[in-house]
Amino acid sequence: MFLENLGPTLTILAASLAALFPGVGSAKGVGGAGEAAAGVLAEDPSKFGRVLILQALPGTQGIYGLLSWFMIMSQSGLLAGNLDISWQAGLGYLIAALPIVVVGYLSALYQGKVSEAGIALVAKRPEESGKAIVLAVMVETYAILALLATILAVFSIQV
Amino acid sequence: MLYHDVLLVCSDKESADRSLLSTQYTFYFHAWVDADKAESIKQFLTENFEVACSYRSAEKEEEYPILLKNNKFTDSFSVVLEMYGAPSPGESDPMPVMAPFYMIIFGMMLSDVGYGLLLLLACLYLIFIAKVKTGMMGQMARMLTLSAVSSIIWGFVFGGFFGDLLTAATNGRVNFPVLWFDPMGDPIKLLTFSMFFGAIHLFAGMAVDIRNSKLKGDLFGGLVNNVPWYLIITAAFMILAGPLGLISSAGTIALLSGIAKWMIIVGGVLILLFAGHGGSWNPIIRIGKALLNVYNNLTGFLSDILSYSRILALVLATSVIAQVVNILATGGSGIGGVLLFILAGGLGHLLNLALSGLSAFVHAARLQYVEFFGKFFEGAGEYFAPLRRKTKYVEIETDKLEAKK
Repeated sequence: MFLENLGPTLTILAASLAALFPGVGSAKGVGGAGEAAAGVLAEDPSKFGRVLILQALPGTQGIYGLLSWFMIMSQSGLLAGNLDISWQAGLGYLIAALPIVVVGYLSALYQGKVSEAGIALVAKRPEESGKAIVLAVMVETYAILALLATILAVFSIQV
Repeated sequence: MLYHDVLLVCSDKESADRSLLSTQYTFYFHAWVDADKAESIKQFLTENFEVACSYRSAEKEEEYPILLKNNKFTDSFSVVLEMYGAPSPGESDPMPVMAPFYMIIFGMMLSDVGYGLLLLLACLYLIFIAKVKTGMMGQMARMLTLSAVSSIIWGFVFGGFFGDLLTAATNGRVNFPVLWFDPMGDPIKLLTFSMFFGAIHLFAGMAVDIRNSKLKGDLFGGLVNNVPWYLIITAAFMILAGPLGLISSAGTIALLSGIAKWMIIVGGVLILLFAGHGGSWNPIIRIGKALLNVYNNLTGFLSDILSYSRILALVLATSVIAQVVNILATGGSGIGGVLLFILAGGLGHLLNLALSGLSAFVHAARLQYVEFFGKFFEGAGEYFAPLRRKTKYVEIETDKLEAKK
């Protein structure tokens, strides 16, 4: 019966969503920043190091998504093959995953935009790349807060 | 490329020439020099050329350029400050306080013995074998060398060696020793510690603010702005120590919150009395200023201290990605397993080192820029940039060129 395995199913759904949405957001953010970076490099290839760092910044949300995936899978015991998870716990994991799913996805998009603008800044004033990095990192704070909300909730759910 | 450098030097010279006042036979200019070298520059000029030369020290209100002087340890981290800006004239140099905090926070965020060692080796290679000593790369290499040492130390504290490589590779027979506690096992403990450490970092920033106020001749203003918040934030931690489970005895909790209550009252009275310090004496305006001060600082301190929770997030990210790599790398058996271990493990850990290292560098800097500098730093200055042969592709070894300016 499907309902017998409702707990593990919900848990895997939670873990997958946590890895999926921030990953997609990061891919979009890094992708957009990469396009902007290629334009700058066409003019001046020596700026590669500076624009690469800026391009990588929106990529962290994907990592936080994978981190949440791992936390849900290992805390629930699924990673070790434990299928004995109550549906309440599974639903709990699904709800606990919401912050990183939504905030991780959206913050990656916005951080990608700030990174693109930062790359345009580096094109004109390469010596100010540090400031461009800080501007992009300001957005990431909210992904970090969402990650902590998810992880701390996952830790407190009893299987 | 050589021609590019020649043109660059010529154009720098031309633009410096343009700032000189000159007639056919004479010219006149004034410039900022390092105060310690002023006398020797005057000697050099009057001995070697037919010139009239005099110097004076900067006035208080003048916008003079900034030249930082620090010992080798502190100076290694000045690249972090230079990315942000220069201290305003009349402000004290934040580097001696910032350098140790940057080193500690970076080490916590990338707390892994294996990654620290790899980073250390890469930096030592850059400095001693590739001889990258000048420019941005050289500064970064020196800064990361010290930060990598800190990573190794924190790696021992939290028990990380390429994540849990020893445990994964030996199926749990050998475990890497943990000096304090494993963040994966007790994340709340690390969260509390991060925020407590953040409060110490902010307190240090407030101490610098008091020092800066003293330099500007307003020691009293610096004290009344900061002392109440020292009291209130400490009290908040004393009250929270019970609910967070740091102390268990009920008597101590009651005693601490009793003391904390009085600290908050004293702090509040100080704010009420002195928040409008230096302004109008109208009681309504002063109460309004006090309320505004309380609101701004309460929300400010809350978000600043919460921001240090990123230390926990980065510690977990570093070690979890490493664990995922280890799970992938130890999946095979036989000859194929060994190959998989070397390939997947090597690539995965290098990738994680690059990503986590970048995160640690960037977020440790953010905690300095936004939270720490927010407590005291104006940063409206400009760096001392003497005329020199600033080249991009060739390196000129110079000793005496500097003295000429």
